[in-house]
Amino acid sequence: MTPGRRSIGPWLRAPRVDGRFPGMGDPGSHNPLRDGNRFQRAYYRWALPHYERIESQHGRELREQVESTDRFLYTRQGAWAWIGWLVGLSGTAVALSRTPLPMAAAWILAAVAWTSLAFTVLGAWLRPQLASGPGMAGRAGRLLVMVVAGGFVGYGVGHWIKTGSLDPGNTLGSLLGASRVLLPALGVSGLGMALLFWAVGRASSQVQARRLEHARLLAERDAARASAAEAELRILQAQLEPHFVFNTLATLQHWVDKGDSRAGPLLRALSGFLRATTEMLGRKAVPLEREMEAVTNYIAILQARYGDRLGSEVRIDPQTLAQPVPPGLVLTLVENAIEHGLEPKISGGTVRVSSGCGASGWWLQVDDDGMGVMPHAPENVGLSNLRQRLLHQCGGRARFSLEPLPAGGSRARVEFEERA
Amino acid sequence: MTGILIADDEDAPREHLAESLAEAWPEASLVARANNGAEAWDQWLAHEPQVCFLDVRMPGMSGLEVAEKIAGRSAIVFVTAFGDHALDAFQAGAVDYLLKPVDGQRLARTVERLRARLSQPGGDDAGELQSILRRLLDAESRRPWVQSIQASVGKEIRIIPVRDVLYFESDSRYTRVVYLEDGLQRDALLRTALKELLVQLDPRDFTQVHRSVIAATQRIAAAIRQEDGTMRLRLRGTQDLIAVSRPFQHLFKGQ
Repeated sequence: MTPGRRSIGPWLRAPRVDGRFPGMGDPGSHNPLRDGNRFQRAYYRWALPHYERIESQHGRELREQVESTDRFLYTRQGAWAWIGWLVGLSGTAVALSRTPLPMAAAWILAAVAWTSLAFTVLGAWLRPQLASGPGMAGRAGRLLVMVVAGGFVGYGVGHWIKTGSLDPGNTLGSLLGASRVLLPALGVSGLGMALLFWAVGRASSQVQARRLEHARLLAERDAARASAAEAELRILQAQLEPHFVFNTLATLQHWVDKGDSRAGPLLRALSGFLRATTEMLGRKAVPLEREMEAVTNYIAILQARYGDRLGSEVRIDPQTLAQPVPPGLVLTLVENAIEHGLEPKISGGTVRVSSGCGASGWWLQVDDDGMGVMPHAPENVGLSNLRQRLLHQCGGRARFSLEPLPAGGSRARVEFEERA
Repeated sequence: MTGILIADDEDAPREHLAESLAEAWPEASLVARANNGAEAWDQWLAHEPQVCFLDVRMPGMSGLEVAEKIAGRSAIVFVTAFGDHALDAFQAGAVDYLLKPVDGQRLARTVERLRARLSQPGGDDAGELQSILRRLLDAESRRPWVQSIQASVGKEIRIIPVRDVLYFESDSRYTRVVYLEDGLQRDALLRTALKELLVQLDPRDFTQVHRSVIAATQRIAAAIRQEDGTMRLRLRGTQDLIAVSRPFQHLFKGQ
């Protein structure tokens, strides 16, 4: 016999756990910029090296966000954003031109203000860690200083346009005179900018956190699905394991040929086993009672085949019969005990299945008095799959252990903690 | 008359094959049945049948392990519930195999081939067969070998490291172990039958030399051929002489 040689079919996909958002940055999908009109294609060609630089410096995620922002801004979807931005800019320019500022200066000032506002918001959105992460106070301070300095430089430029001269004494005097009004105004607008920057950053980082959480949940669900699919395959394998099926049929064949009365009960046990296991397929959990139907039929089949060599003892606490278990749980443990513990032993042995209630939940146990646990032997596929399923379906509430028994043989035990 | 051995750990398939064979090959006779690999080897030593039907999966010793021991000395037919990949190695026809449940027509063809092979003497290449089997067996995970043996002597249970053992000798249902303790020869009785003990001992350290004797390989000092064609072994550390039965005499050929 060949312990642990079973394999899982190649059609089972590995769960996606790389945390990527589905549909984004997928090279195969449609990209409205790359595949758009001439302007969009030209923009994409220009932007591509920048995207790649962003990816190499800040990671794939930021690149995907930058690209999706671009896809928004440079397609029809983004038209309203541009219109809103232009309306805001025009309104500010018109309002400023009512002041003593000349028309050109008003437009330039408005354009500078709205462009920097747009970049601030965009920057805070794309890299929220700059706006609300550690070191935020320092960056806010620098922003404030820059706004104030910019304001004074702007005033100087305005003064120069108005008077046509840059006489240092005159300009400085005028600046000092204006600073009483300028400083609080600039301070307030700088603070406003910092506040906006921070708020947008906060909102963005919350959105990102939600997205990451969503991706994590998707990955987890995929993994759970894959392990459920594997569990299903395991049940099918146990049902249709060729050695099990054909050896059982060989015994049946002989008894039918000879008119042996043992053929009837064996056939009934075989159909009982096939029915019970078939009904488990596609279910996330089955009551222990249903699982035990499959197990007792399985044991009955093997006992018919092996005769005295296989003894069994099933002691299930009636209070545990309704408890849900992952389908195939007990079957896997019994199969393992017989295949690796009892079958290789010349004199045979006994498999004991029992369950009971404890202080904080209930337990399930499969003992054999066979060859015992081989030290350092790699765990077979069935058992490691069982561990994963217990982890996925019961979280930390189920504990599985496989230990040698002092008198020889081994004990597999699962403890289920009752939900508080 | 052709003697047949059938080894299968399940009763019904074994009896099914026995009855099918009686029909398909009436002039052959079933000389031994075995329900595990160790039993199969022991029965082979007792009867030396010309044909062995071996179930591949058996406790104690697998069909492949038994085949390795008897390769070249008997014709081998493996019986299996499912086409083990291992059996593909024998497609050349050195060894036949049957699938369970055994089909009458398929068995008739196998019997035909067996008859043909037995009628031409010295057809099998035992060396090649053994090397294929050894390769297959090396690929499988081996059981761990025992390191010490517990034997009860009166009220005490003695723990004997296998490295101190000189030889084991079958004593009806028990096994007598002869060993050295502080340079003195002692012996004790084990409850395990010799044939079952055989599969627990590392074959590199122990050599079976008789159906009822296993000797520690490193202790063997000399093989002495007698006038009547029998052979005896002298072991280091004891005066006892051990009989080597005919199926094992080829182990001591001299260069």
